[in-house]
Amino acid sequence: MAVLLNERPLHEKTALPKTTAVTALFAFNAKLDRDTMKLFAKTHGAEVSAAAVAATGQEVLELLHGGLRPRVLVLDALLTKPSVTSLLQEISTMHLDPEPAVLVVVPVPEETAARKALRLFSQYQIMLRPYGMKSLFDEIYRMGSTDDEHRLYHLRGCCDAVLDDYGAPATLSGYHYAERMLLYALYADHPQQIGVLQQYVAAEEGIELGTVTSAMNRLSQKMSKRGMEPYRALCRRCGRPEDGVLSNGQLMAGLLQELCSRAEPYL
Amino acid sequence: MYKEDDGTALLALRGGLRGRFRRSLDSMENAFEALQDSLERTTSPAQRAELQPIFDELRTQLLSLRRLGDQTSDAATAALLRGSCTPRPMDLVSQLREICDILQEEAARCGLPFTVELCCAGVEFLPTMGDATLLNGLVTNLVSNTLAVDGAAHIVLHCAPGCFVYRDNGPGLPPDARALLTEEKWSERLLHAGGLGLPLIAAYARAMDWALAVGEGPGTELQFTLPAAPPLENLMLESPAERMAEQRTRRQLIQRELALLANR
Repeated sequence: MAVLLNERPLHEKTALPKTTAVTALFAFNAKLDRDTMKLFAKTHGAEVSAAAVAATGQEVLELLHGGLRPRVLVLDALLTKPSVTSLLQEISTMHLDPEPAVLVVVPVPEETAARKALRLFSQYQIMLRPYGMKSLFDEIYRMGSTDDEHRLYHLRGCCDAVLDDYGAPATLSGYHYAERMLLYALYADHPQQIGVLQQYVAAEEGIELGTVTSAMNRLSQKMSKRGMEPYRALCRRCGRPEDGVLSNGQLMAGLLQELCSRAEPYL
Repeated sequence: MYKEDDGTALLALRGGLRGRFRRSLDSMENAFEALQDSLERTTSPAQRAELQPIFDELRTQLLSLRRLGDQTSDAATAALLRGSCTPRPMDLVSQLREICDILQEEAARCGLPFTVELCCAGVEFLPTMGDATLLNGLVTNLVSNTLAVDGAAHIVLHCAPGCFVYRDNGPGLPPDARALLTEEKWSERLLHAGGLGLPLIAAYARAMDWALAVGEGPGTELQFTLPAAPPLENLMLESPAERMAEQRTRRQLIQRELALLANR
């Protein structure tokens, strides 16, 4: 676990795991569901990319026969033309390479006859409906990613949660830079100076170091203005007035400390 | 290989009229989440703050619509409930214990002051014929009616051999509510109120072959005489997936009822 504010700079560059979006093929009976998947995938495309969104089983087969190779198939249990069970049977005979993971979305069965339907999907991953979109996409990412990618995904989620709690506006570029700096700090084998972390981000983004520094300054100012209690508490701990503005170093040290306690299961 | 029965099971997944309501509302909730997610990335904090109360109210209305959809579809198909949810052997004590636990947890989460207690009078196992879905509907409607009158009520679920009694410490059922439950007679007051809880309580009980009587109280007291227990060797075990689905449905239903009460 990395801790900020060490005296000695390091010479080896810390690297974050390379990640690619998980490509998923969605197939849903209802148009609203299809449109919703497209919209959510648009804003979460860095993690889950919608390779295609099909309306029928036949469309799914045509896409797969046409060479589409998603990492995950997300199938509505109520799909028709053909039914999802016939579709799954057909897909199993195609011997796709690579073989996609299959997630079947199933309405919670209430009637006695419907409960038996759960057994039809016993060899697949199922998600019961109703579900939240975030939960669905988290599961798709989990099914289609490697352990390293999945760990980074969760750590990034923890970073964002900490930044949000401290009142960091997500629309500022400094938010993105702070997130990356925190991740670099977590993945580093040794403690890193804040200047080094800023250099990593500047190199990653192809921008000047000063741009990162200025963006972080603006971020801290905005957070001070928002006045969320965790930021104010950090000001007090750093010996500043509650409504003061933290330096970049003080801010990152405080955020990292909070992050380390929350991200413990993934470290 | 998939058999013809699979087609019937898949069809049953649609869930009839209730399923149609639910699917529509599920889709709306997901679309709503996607819209809110998109807005968070494209609007300023000030704009989001302005929109948030409307989003919150929309969520409450969706919850309300879910409840109305379930009740309306069950009321419309009350005569068919007996066929669609085949009563099967169950241990009523464990079912009610789970319901009690969830009610207590969710009441604490919502900050609702009511209390609920399971009294078994030494009965640890009460086999009878029933259905988890119908039981959920029965108990949530009873609890909802109680809390609509008194949000800080004390509810007791009492089990004895061959019998389940629901009691609260409220003012008791008005005469027309009693008549609706036992004689299916509607008063003008209840017709105008548009509530479906009381006739549904009777319909759910009937579908499980539970005889319903209204006790003298004090408070509301409904007595359910349970059908004879089946031989233990006829008890069928549920698969883990079925049990998980059942628990999840139960919790979501109770969460919904209490969220609506908390948001009034």
